[in-house]
Formats: sequence, structure tokens, C-alpha cells
Amino acid sequence: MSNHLYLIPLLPLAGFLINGLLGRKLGDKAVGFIGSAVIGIAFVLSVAAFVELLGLPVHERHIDRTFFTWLAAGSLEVPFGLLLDPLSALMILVVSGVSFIIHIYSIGYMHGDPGYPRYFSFLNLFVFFMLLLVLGDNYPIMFIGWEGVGLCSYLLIGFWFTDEARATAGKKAFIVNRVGDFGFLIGLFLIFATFGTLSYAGVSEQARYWVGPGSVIFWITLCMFFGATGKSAQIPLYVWLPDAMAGPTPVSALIHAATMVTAGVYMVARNSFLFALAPATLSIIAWVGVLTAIFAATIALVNNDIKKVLAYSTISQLGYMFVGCGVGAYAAGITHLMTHAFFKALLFLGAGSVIHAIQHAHERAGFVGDPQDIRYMGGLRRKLPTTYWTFAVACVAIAGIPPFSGFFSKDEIIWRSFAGGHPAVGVVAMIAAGLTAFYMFRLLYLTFHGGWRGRRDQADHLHESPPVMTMPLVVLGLLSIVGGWVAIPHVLGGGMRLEHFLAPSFRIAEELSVMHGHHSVSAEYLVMILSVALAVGGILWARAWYIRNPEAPKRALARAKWLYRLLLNKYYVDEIYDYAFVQTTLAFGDGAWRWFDIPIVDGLVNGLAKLVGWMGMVIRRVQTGLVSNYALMMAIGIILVVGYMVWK
Amino acid sequence: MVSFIPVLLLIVIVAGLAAVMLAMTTWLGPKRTNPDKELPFETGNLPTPGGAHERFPIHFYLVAILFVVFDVEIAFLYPWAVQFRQLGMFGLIEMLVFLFILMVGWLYIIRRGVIGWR
Amino acid sequence: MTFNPSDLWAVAPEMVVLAVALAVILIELLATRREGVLQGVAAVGLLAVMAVAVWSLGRPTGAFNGMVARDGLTVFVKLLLAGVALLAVLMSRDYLMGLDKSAPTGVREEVKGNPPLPPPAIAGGEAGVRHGEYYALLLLATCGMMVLASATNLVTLFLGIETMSLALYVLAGIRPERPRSGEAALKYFLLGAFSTGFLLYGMALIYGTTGGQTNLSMISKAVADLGDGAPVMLFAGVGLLMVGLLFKVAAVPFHFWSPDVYQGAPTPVTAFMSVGPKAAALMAFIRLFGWALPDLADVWGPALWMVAAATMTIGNIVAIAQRDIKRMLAYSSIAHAGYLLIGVLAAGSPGVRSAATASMLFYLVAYFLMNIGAFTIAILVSRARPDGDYQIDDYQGLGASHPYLSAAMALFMISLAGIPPTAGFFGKLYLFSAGVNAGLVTLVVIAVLNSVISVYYYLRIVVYMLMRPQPSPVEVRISPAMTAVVLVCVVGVIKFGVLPGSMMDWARSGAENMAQPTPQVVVDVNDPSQIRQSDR
Repeated sequence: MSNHLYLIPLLPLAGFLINGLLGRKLGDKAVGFIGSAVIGIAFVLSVAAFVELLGLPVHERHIDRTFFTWLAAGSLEVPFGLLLDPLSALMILVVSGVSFIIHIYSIGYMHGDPGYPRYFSFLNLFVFFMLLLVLGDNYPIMFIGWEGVGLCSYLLIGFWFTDEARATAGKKAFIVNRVGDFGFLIGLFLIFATFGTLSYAGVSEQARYWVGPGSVIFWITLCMFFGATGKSAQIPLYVWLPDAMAGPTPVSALIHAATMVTAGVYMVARNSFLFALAPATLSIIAWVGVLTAIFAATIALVNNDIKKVLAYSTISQLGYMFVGCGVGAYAAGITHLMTHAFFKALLFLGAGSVIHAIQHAHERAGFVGDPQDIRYMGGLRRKLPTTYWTFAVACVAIAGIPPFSGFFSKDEIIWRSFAGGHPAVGVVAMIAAGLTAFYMFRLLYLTFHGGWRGRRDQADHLHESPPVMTMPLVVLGLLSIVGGWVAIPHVLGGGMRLEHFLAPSFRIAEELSVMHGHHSVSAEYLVMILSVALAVGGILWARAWYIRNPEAPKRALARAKWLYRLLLNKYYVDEIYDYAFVQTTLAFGDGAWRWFDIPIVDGLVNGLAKLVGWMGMVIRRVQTGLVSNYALMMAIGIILVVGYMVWK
Repeated sequence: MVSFIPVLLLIVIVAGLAAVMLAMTTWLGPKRTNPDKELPFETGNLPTPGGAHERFPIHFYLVAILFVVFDVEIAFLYPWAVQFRQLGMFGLIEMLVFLFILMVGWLYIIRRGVIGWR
Repeated sequence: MTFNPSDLWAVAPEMVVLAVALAVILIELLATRREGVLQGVAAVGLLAVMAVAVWSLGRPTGAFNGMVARDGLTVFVKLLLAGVALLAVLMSRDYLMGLDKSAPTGVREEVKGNPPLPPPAIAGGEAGVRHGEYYALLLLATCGMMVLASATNLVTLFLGIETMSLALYVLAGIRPERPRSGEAALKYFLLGAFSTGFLLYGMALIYGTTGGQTNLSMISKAVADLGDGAPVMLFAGVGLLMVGLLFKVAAVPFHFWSPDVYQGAPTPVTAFMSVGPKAAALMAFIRLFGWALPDLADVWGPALWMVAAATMTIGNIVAIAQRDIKRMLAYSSIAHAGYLLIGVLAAGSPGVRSAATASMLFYLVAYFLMNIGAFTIAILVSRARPDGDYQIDDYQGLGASHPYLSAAMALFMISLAGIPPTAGFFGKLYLFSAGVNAGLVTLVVIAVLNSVISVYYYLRIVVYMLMRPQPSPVEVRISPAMTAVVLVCVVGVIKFGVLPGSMMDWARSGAENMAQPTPQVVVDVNDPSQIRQSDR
């Protein structure tokens, strides 16, 4: 398989081309089939590649294949090379697997949408770029994937572009991402300037024996991490992700929860050999991650939009992954990336199923309203049983209750922050974990438990989604349960098999790492018990407020109104950004336009354009159409050319 | 420069010879003219019915041009015939190819009715 | 001097082209209902030419006593030329059929003040263009270009130029019912004859000053032997030769014929003329100036430098003022010729000779694809109009009614402007970096500035298509052959814009695999002992 690694990204590209060019002619059925089938085959190939990698001895699990030279200009040579190592093998499994499930789900969810072929072609294109991003063996390829997934995200957020707000959301995502990409690009320039190469192999080999100044590496890594905060929605560039929920829900599940937003985490993990040389950056990453985790979790406590809660939850969970990378536990971060992909995709697809049902009921009842507001839901447990059970599984998983998958990955991150010498980070992460359990069960209870709070005539039209949508839920539910079992820690009798599998990818970082935490079994037990207790506490609290005593939250809110208002308005960050950046930029732009652009730049540019146009008109006059004039001109030209050469 | 003197001489001789021949025919030749003989083309074809800015049929020129083509062909055949023995089989085939190409052109001309006078 | 049968391999593609041309003429004479057959034979024949060209690839060597080269460069260019001719053939039938329908028998444009004309003497009672004649001339022109591109002797060079030019003169004027077509042909012919005179005069001077040499390697050797004592007449000869070739690539100030001819000639012919003769003449340039006369680079270099700068600048600036898309593309092709001359100049400095040649080959491939594509769409759009005109205004709002066609046109325009990710971008990248490596920094800066200017008029078409309302609905019909042409061009432009590596590798190996044949027997006309008895 590794000889034909290029097939894995190429298949989704083929799907994109077929659906994009012929989609209208093929019909929706064929489009859905082709779109899903190419991803399915890519998944099978990914499994084959994974198995092949497993069959190799540990130290040989690094297959770097160059297929052709992509471009060569001067000293810069970029081969089109793909790298299969444990990290990328796991990533392609997750990306193609989750994508496949979500493609299947989309067949049902997008049924009847006029933009059906466009949707599937964009989705295929996204998978292509994502696979390129994780498989490339050098920075330019990663950057192409990085930009490509951003483009697809933009196209899909604004998929229903006729709606002004959705188009704006797409634009916001694009612009905020561009800010981050700028940092990433500067990082790439610095890497090329410092190491003179842009391949992972070349840079890591030099980083391994790095004796130069640490400040260079610090700036490189900081710039790259800034890029990661854009793509992976961390402070300060997280603002686009909640707005991105304007896209179709399967898109939110795939791009804005399971895969694309984890690209930043992947990038940090892939460059562990550089980050290990910059402990300062690592500390920044750990702190940014944990602050994002708790910050987003508090906003999620009070939000009433089912998808926005999940969006803030995603931001929060991405924060955990960065904590993992920041404390040097790259494998733990990547493990959480994987388990999160399962349960967060499941949550979004479940939410999609709920929205689908309510939207349908709205239409039947002739009612126009927001189908995503959990205040007007409730009691859906009986109407949507499959959705309910799978959603509940995901909630347990994300809350971190053993033996569900979220527990193993999240707990490992929290434990490693204590063990790695960041106890404060660990404490904040634990508190955030408790909040996570609370808001997730608040969401579950408000949506599925209690009585229906919407209009009575709608309740009769609520139906479970078709099997094409519930089957993916069941599959993801199973994965959310067992997905963490490959990462059972030693103290619980597990083998940390995933961490051992991933270890070769982080070998250089381990060698370079300056952090050598002490390992105490009893402390690990203590952390484990504490975090589970906090999670259970959060669940019980949610149960007390939203099932047992629905009046309690109202009373509590009345007492702390300012806090509620602050959280509901998301700390006014959007407003602050708007004031600090957008308005000032506009004002500056306006001033510059009024006082500089119009008289000077416009004058210059227009003047030049006019001059060129005028010259064109004048020279055109020479073209008289008279052959004798042409001959005369030629003769003059000959005299000039030959005269010059003879008399020089 | 000295080596070009024969060339110069040749030019002088050619020009002089032409001038002498023209002069001699003008002076010595009998002149019995009639309007037909004054025409540029003795076929009776009037190339320019009016002034030089009129449009006119070009049939005659086509035939003249075709004559030049076949004239050159004959001119090419002479040296080939002289060298025929040395060129051998290769020369024969080469010439047959050449003639075949010309023949296709000739067939085309006949088929398009260029030779037939209307 | 003996004949070596393997020499025939060197001219095998030319022989096949010639055979196909004859076959086309014979089919027109003998068969009925032949338009499709003619096109098919011409197309299949050109595919065969390509196959033979690949087959003829071998160790770089000369043939016919150093008259032509048989090497990688030649094969690459012959493939390119056959490809140009193939696409031109594919787009021609629709164009010609359209003419047959639109030009009713016997009706011609009346010229004011003149009596009605007698029926055309050789039209044989038919109006429109004879397809067989048309394809045959196209193939013969291709044959001439191939000879020109592989010539390593002044005589073969001249032979190639004339075979190519004579066929093109007729092709430009092949639409008898259109005065503009005839005008184009006449202008092309008169100015072409004018330039041929200079070309021949230049050859004669070189022949005279190098001691009777016509073989390029021998000329190179003779020039090296002369050293500083080279006579002024040699410089004049090189200058005149350069002028003759510059006319064929339509460089300023020898470009005046090209806008009028491009506009007047049938559009497939224009598309063909905008690429084929340029490619062939530039190869002659490379062999003559880059490989045979680099010793005189300080003589011809500055002159060519000025010509290149003037060519790209005037081509681009005047293109802005055009309202007719064929004229716009004509000036654009003048500008591209200017860029390509950078390659010739770079080839004059020995260190980057191969790289410069390779970059020119790549640029020619890119230019071929994007230019043919643009002309094909121009034909389609013009045929949708009742008067068959070529106004740029016709492109307004095309994006809404014909999204795929407009997308393809936009791609060609972007590629012509040299914006990534298209073949045009990498063409410019390779060409300009070869120029920089040869130390032509100022010229490359001028070229880059010019590409910026060119963005204006190329993107104007895109803006018209996407952002203007459509004045009146048009229905563009596309036949399978036209679709094939556009598709080939689109795929090529994207392929070499995203993955230029493979084509650049071929171009590089073509440029490195180059023969400089010398004659085994040199006949010295001044030495009577070398002239055999029988020759007397």
C-alpha cells in the first residue's frame, strides 16, 4: 500500500472532480454514492496502510515516498512526497473514517437540497486537502492542505450563501483564519531561512543537533502556534468557530469538530522536534490551551443554541489537546484528538438529527422558528430514541466517565500536566472537566428529558431520522465507548498501546525534551479519582438543576445576573474585537483613503494607467494598415538594428 | 576588395550587353506596328481594362505562374540526368518521389479547371 | 559524400507530414462527401507524425552531411508543432463548415463604384474554402516549420522558412469572399518577401565572410578563428539574418504585419500562426545565435536586448487599446514573443544555455496550450453572433449563460497573464529565472513589469464575462471536436500549472540532448582539386 499512498488523497479529489463537473447530470443518488464511495475506498486503503505499518518493526515505521518533483526554482526544491508514520497513519484513519461516516449521514441530511452535488463535491475536496495536510512530508504540502481546508471550510460555512448572515459567518471564518495563516507563513519563511530546507526530514535532522540560538526556534514555533490558534480556534482567534455553525450540521461535525480544527494540534505534534527546543513556547501553548478550555466551557454553561454549545465545547476540548502538546504529552494530545473526533462528531450528528426532526415538524406545522434553541425542546427521548441513546453515550464520553473513551484521553492529559511540572495547568484543566460534564448534561437533559416545551401541534410531527442517518450515530456511539481502550494507562492494567504506537513519531522530541517529570502511581490514582469525582459532580449538579428542580437555575441566575449576562454575551469578546480591530481598521482605512489614497495613490495609479492607455492609443496610430508604411517602418528598424551592429 | 573586381566587371559587361542589345533592336529592327502588337500580352488578354486601380481577372497570371513551376522542374531534371549514373538507384527513387509530388499538384490543377480556358 | 539510409530518420516526421498532405489533396480530388474524411485523415496523419517523431529519437546526431539535426530538441519541437497543427485541424472543420453555410454561392461583397465581377475564375462554381486545399496547406506549413526547427545549415534553414511562409501566405488569404482575408494575405506576402530578401542577403554575407560556410558548426568555427579580426560585413550579415528571423517571430519593429494578418486570416489559421512559426523560428534562433554564434553575443546581444524590451512593451501597451479579441491576442502574442527572446539572449551565455533552451521549450508548450484554447473559444463565441464578429464586448455576461466555457476562457486568460496555478506562471518563472541566471536582470524586470500591465487586458475579459450583465442572449454551440480542443488545453494548462515537473524534465532532456553536426566532406569552391572530374 505504501507504494500507492498517493491514492488515498487522490480518490477524494477524483470524487470532487466527478461530482463537481458532472454532478447535475448524474443525479443526487449517484452523487451521494460516488461521494461516499471514494471516501470509503480511501478509508479501506488507509486501513491497509495502517496494517502494513503495524507489520513493520517499530524503528522502521517511517515510510517516506517521493512521487515526483513538484517544483524546482533555484535552491528551493519541493518534491511531492508523502510520509506514512504512526502519526500520519492514525490521522488518515481518523480523517477518512469519520469522513466516511459523515458522508453517509449527509446522504440523508442533505436529501432534497438544491445544492446537493455542490455539497458533496466540496466535502470531497475538503477530505482531499485534509489528507494532503496530514500525509505531506514537507511544509509546502502541509501549507497547501492547510489553505485548502480553510477554503473548503469557508465554502461550506457559506453553503447556503443566499442567507446574508451565513455568508458573513463564512467570511469571518476566512478572515480570522487568514490572520493565523499569516503567522504560519512567517514561520515557514523563518524555517526556510534558518534550515535551508522545507522537508520534515531535513528540518528534524538539523533540529536534533541544533546548536544555534534558541530565540530563532522560539520565534518559529511561536509563529506556527499562532497559525494553529487560527485553525484550531484557540484564544485569541477562536471567535470564528461558533459562527461557523451556520454551515450544514454534518459540515460542523466533520470540519468544525472532528478534523479540520484539529489541524493545528496535528501541526504542533508533527513539529514536536521544533517545539521541544522551545520550552517557552510549550509553556505558552499549555497555558493558552487550558485557558481556552475553561473560558469556552464557561460560555457553554449558559448558551441556548444546541450547536453553539457544541461549538464552545469543541473549542474547550481543543484546548485540552494543546495542553497535552504543551506539557510534552504529544501522544496524549493526539489520543484525545482521536477520541474527540468520535464523540464530538457523534454529538454534532445527533444534534443534526434533532434539528432535522424539529425543522421537519416546523415545516409541517407551518411554523417559522429557530430549530436549534434548546429552550423550546425537551422530551425528545421518546420521539428520537436512537438519537437519544447515542447522544447520551457521547455525553458520558466527553464528561470523562470510565470506561468511556473520553476518560482515558482526557485523564492522561491532566495527569501529564501534573507530572510534567505544570500543576496549575492541571488544576484548571480539572475544573474545566467538571464544567464540561455539567454543560453537556444540561444540554442532554434540556433536549431529551422533561416535557416538550415547543408548540403542541409540532410534537405530533416529530420523528426519528431515517436509518441512513441513525446508523452512523450507532457506529460512532460504539467508537465513543471503545475508542479509548487503546490508551488504558498502566496503573489500570492497560498497555498504553496507542502511545507506544505513536512514540516513534515523537522520538526526537523525547530525546530533546528538557522536562522529566517524576512518576508516582499513587498521585496518578489521586488525579484520576479527583477528575472522575468532579465529572460525576458536574453531572449530578446538572441533574439537580434541570431534572429535579427546574426552578433552581432561575433562582441562581437571579442572584448572579451580571455573571449570567457576561457569559451569555460570551465575555463581549466579539464586540471588543470589533471595536479594537475592525472599527479602528476601518477608521484608519477611511482616513488613509481620504487623505492619502485619493490624492496620491489614486492619482499615481490612475495617471499611470491613463498614460499607458494613451500610449497605446498613440502607438496604435502607427498601425495605419498601409503596407507601404509598414515596409518603411521595417526598413527603419533594419537600418537601426544592422546599423547598430555594424557601427558599434 | 580586389577579389570582387571580377564581379564588378561581370556586372558592367551584363549591363552593357543588355543595353547594347536593346539599342540595336530599336535602331536596326523594322517597325511595322498594329494595335494588337502594341498590347502588353499578345494573347489579346487585356489585364487592366481601366486604370491600375481596377480589379481584373487573374487567370492568365495563374497559367504563367504554373508554367514557371514546370519550367523549374525541367531545369532540375537536366543536372539529374547528367549525374544519373553516379546517383544510381537512390537518385532514381528520389526523382520519382519528386515527380510524384509534382504530379499530384498537376492533377489537382487539372481537376480544379485551371488549365481549361473559359 | 554518400547517402546513408538512416539519415532518413532525421526527416521521417517531415516525410510523413508531406505524405499526409498529398493524401489529403488526392482524397479531395477523388472522394465525395469528404469534409469529415479530410479532417480525420489530417488528424490521424498528425498523430502518426507524432508517433514517428518519438520513434525517431536517438543518439544526437546530424543527417545529410550536417544539413539537419536529429536530436532531442528537434523531436520535442516536432512534437509540439505536430500538436499545434493537430489542434488547428480539429478546430478547423467547424469553422470551415460555418463558412460554407454563411457564404451563399456567387454572392460577394460589392465594391462601390465597380461593376459586378465575373464569377471567380477558379472557384469551380463553389463558394467558401476547399477543405482539402486548406488542410494540405496547413500540413505543408507544418512540414516547413519542422525543417526550420531542425535546420543546422543556412540552406535548410532558408528552405524551411520559405516552405512555411509560402503555405501561410496562401492560408491567410484562403477566404476568397472576404476582402480582409485577401488584404491580410497580400500584406503578409509583400512584407514577408521583403524580409526574406534581407534574410538571404544576411546569409550571403555570412557565407562570404566565413570562407564559404553554410553549416552552422562550421560557421561557428570560422567565427572563432576570425576572433577579433572579424570583418564588419560579418556583423552586417548576422544583423540581417536576425532581422529576417525577427520578422517571423513578429518582434518589434518587424511586427507590423501581424495584427492585420491575425485579424484578417481565418481564426484557426491565426491560432496556428500565432504559435507554430514562432516556435520554429525561435528554435532556429537558438541554434543560430545561442549555439553557433555565442562568440558574437556582444554584437547581437545588445540589439536583441533592445528588440526584446521593445517587443514586450509595445505588444502589451497596444493590446490594452484593442476592442477586437483577435487583434488583442495578436498583440499579446507579440508580447509573448518578447518574453521568449529573453530565452534566446540567455542562451547566448554558455553557462545557462541548456537551462534557457529548456525554459523556452516549456514556455512554448504553455503558450501553445493557452493561446490555442483562447482562440478556440474566440471562434465559438464569434460564431454565436449573427455577424461573426470578434468584439471583446461580446464576452459580457458570458459567465452566467455559459459557465464552463467562461471558466475555461478565464483559465486561459489567467494563464496568459502568468498567474499561478497555471502553466503560464511556471513558463514565466522558468524563463525569467533563466534570464536572471544569465545576468539579464534589467530585462527581466522590464518583463515582469510588462506581465503586470498584461494582467489588465487579460483580466478585462474575465471581468466582462463574470461581472457584466449580458446585453442579449447568445447560444454558443460546441461540437465534440471543439470540446476536445478546449479540454486538451484546459487539462494541459492546469496539469503544467500544478505539476510542471515532468514537462520541464522532458524539456530539459530535450535541450541537453542536442546535436551540432558538421559535414564530413567540406567542398572548398576555391580549391579545384576538390571538384571531381565528372562535375566539370
